[in-house]
Amino acid sequence: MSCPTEAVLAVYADGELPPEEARRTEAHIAACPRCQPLVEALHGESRLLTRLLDEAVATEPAEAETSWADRVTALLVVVAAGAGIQALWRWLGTLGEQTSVSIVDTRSLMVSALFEAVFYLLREGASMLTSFMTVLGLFFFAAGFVGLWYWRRRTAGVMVLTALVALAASSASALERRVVKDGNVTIPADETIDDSVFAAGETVSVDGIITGNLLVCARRVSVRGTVKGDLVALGQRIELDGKVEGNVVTAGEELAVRGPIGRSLHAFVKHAGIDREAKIEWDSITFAQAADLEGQVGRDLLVFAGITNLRGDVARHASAWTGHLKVEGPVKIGGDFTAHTADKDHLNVDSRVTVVGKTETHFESDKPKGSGKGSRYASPSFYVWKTVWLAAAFLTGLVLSRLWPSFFAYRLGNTSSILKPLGIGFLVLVAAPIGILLLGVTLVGLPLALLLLALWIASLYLSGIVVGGIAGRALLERRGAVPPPPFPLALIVGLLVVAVAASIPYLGGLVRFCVLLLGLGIATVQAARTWRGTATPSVSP
Amino acid sequence: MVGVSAEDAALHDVLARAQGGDGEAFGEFYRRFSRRVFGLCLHVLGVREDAEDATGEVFLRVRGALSRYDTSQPLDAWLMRIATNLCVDRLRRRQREGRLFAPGADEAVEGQAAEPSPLAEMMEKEQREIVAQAMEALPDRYRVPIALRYYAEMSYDEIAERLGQTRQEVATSLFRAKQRLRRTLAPASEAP
Repeated sequence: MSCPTEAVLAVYADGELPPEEARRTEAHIAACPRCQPLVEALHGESRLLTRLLDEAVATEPAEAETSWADRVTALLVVVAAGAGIQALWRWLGTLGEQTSVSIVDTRSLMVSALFEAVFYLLREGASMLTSFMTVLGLFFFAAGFVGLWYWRRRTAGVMVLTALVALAASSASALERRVVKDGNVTIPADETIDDSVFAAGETVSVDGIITGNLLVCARRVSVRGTVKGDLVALGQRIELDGKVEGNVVTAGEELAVRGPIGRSLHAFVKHAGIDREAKIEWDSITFAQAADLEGQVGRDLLVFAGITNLRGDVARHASAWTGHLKVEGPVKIGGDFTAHTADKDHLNVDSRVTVVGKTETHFESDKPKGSGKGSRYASPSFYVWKTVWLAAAFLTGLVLSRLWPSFFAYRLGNTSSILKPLGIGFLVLVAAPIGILLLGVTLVGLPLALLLLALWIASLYLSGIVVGGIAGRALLERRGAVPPPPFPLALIVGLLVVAVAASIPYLGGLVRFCVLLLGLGIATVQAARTWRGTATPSVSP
Repeated sequence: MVGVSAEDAALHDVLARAQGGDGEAFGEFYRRFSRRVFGLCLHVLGVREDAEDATGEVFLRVRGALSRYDTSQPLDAWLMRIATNLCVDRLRRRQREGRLFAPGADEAVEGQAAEPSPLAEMMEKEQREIVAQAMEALPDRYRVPIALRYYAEMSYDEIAERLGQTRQEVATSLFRAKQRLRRTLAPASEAP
């Protein structure tokens, strides 16, 4: 009789061959010098598997010792977070001097934090930024490094790195023809470039014609010629004297528009100056500390600013969320006019202003207020809104837990399980917008940047819910519920705790900030874990 | 009573009280068996967080079913069955098409192994961590039979029943799974 295959011997070793076949195989093995050791090894293998599978359970993460690397990382991150909070706080103080504090809500705070990061890069890192590609390279390198460190499994790490390198390479090669870096870049008046242009440098001046899009990142950007496509400009000072036929998206410190814009203007700047000569054919959307808007707007106007001066006509609706609003001169607003300001004294509307639609004014001061800051607790609307928030958060949390249960599977145990996501959350909060901006100025990265931005904004909202769900479960489990408590109960308890803690006077802001960091961090950690868990790396032969 | 140790008697007592609806006794029961159940969930689902979640759900089911448990049956096998059913359901839901355990293309060929060196030697080094990772990295169709056979210690017939497969398919999956584990672990064990 010839030797049975190893597959048959494996079944035999498991004691699962039919009796007749088992007897025959047994007889063969007893006489076969080749099969005998193999069967013995297979037996040993089965026993070993049983033992190792049992032992593998013992290495529970909660019981695993925190490594030194984790502790050092956590420490560094706490220091960085502390410094970050302090810097943010100081900066908020200066903002408060210039604007009405009432508009410093989370929405404008987020946008402002984003600006500050960009400003910092532009101001402090101007010399570094003279070579934009260096920064981009560094960013990809850092991302790759983090990817490798985080996804320690080799194949995944290599995959992440390869993807990043490929992305960097493809964007670089796509831009190669028109990438101009270092020093001062000028496109002279007699030159027409029949392509999209990416330019980076200390100063970038465009006097000629660009038929495609212009993506520019520089300390000083000046467009005196014509851009037929869209303009995306990132810089400390951005001056648009020429003509842009597409959309304009700018982020920077100072924006001056003195020429026509064929579509919409999106400005995220410290000061926005839209002159009388400027005409925006579509919408004008401005986030700024101060906005002087004199040019005409062909559709809607939307402003979020500390101080707003409006002196130009708006063809449709005009809405302003601003500390101080002044509307001067014979301004015509073709639709509704909505103004949100600190109080009546901060709203000055000239008698020559005509509004075709409805006029609505909202004042912070109108909201029922006693004396001092704590007064909002006396207002019923405060509780109504909290309840609405709770209900919405509860429903969102339930949906989230159905879609991605792993977000809520995170365990809060030892200190490092809290510090680690706090640190990662801080990094995500600060690094993500910078990364997104850098990615956004590359042609290839733009869709990805928009997607990431949407994800980032969504995660800001979801962070509180994630923390609520996890904290609620941790609290109930500590109370001794032996089988884990039902998730909806844990969620509502946790959300209540978060809502109450976030409403504590003075401390509430810090609580909200910590919850935000924690939620962002946990979501990142869990997303990485899920990705690692479900991905099946190829097995090398 | 001969042959019943003090521990067995204590377990019997805990079980009886838990069956009677004593919450504290159920807590004790949970503490005793949660690790064992968690292990199965971990090896079947392959993701620690999911396994923790599933363990909780298994005990919810166990609590509901405890009064119907026939004490003459082995308790471990009963727990393993409940946990397996729940985890396999979850896996099927994870891969909606339900063809989770359909044999892969590479399974069609049956024959002599390319490298007949069984795992034993290379695993002697007790690289638990590496083994755990290698298990995690196995596709579901390989990992689940391994967990059911070598962790839950089920028979081929029982595994076949749980996964809706034939006995032969179970044998093939197990064989292939072990081959993969060997291949995955081979380079690791050669490293110094």
